[in-house]
Amino acid sequence: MTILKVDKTLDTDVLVIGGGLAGCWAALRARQAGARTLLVDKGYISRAGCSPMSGGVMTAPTADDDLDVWAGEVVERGGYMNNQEHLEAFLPDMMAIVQEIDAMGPVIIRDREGKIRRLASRGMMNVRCLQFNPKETMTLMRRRVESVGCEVMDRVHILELLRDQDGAVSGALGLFVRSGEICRIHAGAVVIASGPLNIKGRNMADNVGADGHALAWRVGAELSDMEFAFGGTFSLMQRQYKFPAYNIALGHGAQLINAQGERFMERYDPERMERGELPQVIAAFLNENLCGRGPVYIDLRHADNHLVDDLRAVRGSIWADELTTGRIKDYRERPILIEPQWTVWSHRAGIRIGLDCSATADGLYAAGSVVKIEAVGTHASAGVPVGFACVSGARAGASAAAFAKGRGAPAGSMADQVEPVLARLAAASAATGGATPNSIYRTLRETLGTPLDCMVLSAERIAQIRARLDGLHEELGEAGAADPHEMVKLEEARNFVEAFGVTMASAAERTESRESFFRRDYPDTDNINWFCWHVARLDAAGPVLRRVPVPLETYKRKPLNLPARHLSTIGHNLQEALNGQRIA
Amino acid sequence: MASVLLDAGACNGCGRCAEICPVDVLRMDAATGRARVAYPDDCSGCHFCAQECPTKCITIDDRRETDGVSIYDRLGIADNWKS
Repeated sequence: MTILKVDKTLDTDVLVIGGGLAGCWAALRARQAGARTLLVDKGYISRAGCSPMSGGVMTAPTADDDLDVWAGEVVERGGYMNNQEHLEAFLPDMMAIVQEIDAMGPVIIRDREGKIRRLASRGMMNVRCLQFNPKETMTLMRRRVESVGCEVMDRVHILELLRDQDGAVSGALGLFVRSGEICRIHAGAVVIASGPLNIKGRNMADNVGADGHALAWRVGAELSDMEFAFGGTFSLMQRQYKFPAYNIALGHGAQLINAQGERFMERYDPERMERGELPQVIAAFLNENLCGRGPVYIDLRHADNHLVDDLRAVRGSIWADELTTGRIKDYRERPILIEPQWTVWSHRAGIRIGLDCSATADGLYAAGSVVKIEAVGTHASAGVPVGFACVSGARAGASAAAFAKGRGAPAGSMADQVEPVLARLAAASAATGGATPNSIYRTLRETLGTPLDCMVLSAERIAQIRARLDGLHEELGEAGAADPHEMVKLEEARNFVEAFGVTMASAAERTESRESFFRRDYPDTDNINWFCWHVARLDAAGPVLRRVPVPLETYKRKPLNLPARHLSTIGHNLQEALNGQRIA
Repeated sequence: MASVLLDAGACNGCGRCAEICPVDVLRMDAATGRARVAYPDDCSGCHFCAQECPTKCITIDDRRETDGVSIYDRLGIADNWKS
């Protein structure tokens, strides 16, 4: 393979990177605002990224909901760490977007009376979700984006963002995944909608990684709360097959039980039980196993009769078949062994955006799960990222179109930025005998280890991970790629190692525990020093971190009592194991 | 992570699987005009190809490899449910 030159040049007003819900809404709104719009994805748009594989749950209000009640509960559950300005702007947008999706086709699930069926959102009492068929929704989104005249290009991997002489983002360099051709794309504004941080080989949504985080980072945009992209990023799944339908199962009466048949969540979270935030449930799961009461099962023996129908409505036959074809032993006879599996949940962390979805780099916008969703604070439930993807995408697209219009078309070869990328690809093409993308990912997975290794951090553990990342950084310099497919994997690995380095640098700084982030050497939540967003930026000397206080004094909703310090929830749920010296 | 099994003899060459595979595992073979598994290591088991194949010539074996990172393996805990 020889990749040494730019094969073609494209020109657009708005370039959108990533063709999931966020990217499609961004492209749609940019085009509707009159911008020439190019939407690219390294997969096939409508079947790429997380959106078509999501659990089919969207936390979003409909016309029946009281937005003030919603905002109150989201802020309370978000630990008052929410950006309330963002929340109040996004909620009405979300209501409108649900209506727009509903008008596109029959993808939102309705009850027998024909009304949109609502389920209680996990961890919430008043806030509710709706269910939709993600794959069919994405088919409709693609069709709509094409119908308004957006240019859609599948199988293009973005290698690097390009900037003009003033430092504003002015396009990108892309690699055609199948032909190996290189394209330079001039753009008046760029929207990154590339999805959450993901380590390859662990999740079904495996063409997301950390590309968008790394692209933004390298042009100086800020990443926020990156340490939250790590410890709590697990969902509970059936061990052998992919049965990731925890949310749907809970909605039909599933319970978690330990080896003694005890519904153990009664001891950890009597109010919400299995419906609490997943990191807290995972911590309880780990404690049960560490203290000799494992394994843990999901008990569907008393689930209602609609479970299988519901699984089929949301995801076709995939999950329903797991239960009905005998691959999983009869779920009416015995509970199903379940365990935490790495998943993509980094809406707690990501590119920092303003109300117009601008990143902190001129010309750059971001939307969806690549973004730190400040609106929801520390709350996290499965349906939140989907709703946010739609509204942030729509806003980012409109804002990017306006920016591009005011700017005029950037020009120039930007050769000084193009050459190093071509040199990097040429070196990887020529390398033999060094690391491969697969070996890099294997090392990463071994470094991250079990859910326990991921959830329980300490200064020592963070230093160990950072040392391994340094080693990988060196290996990446020598690594080879045999063809364009492997080249994309190698670039993804580079991006992951870079973004994960920011995660670990942020983790090393945070001397407390909060929500999904837990350090055994600092098990308390510390509201005196850490009631803030933790923002990282790449400086000439390396990552620079700063704390941006949550401006509670300017917000409508304020906590009655914010304790200066308290044991974190993960610390509470793991207390028995920690006290009993059961964690090495 | 998962294996995609393709019965090439039953493939009608429509190309849909190669078009949509999120992780670029499947390609069309120029010589035979049929689909082939080009990058078997990368299948993530999403089932999209199998769901959309008009001749149903694709099956996914998605038995999860725990990759040495299962908490049950680490703690030596087995499925011991007694009903």
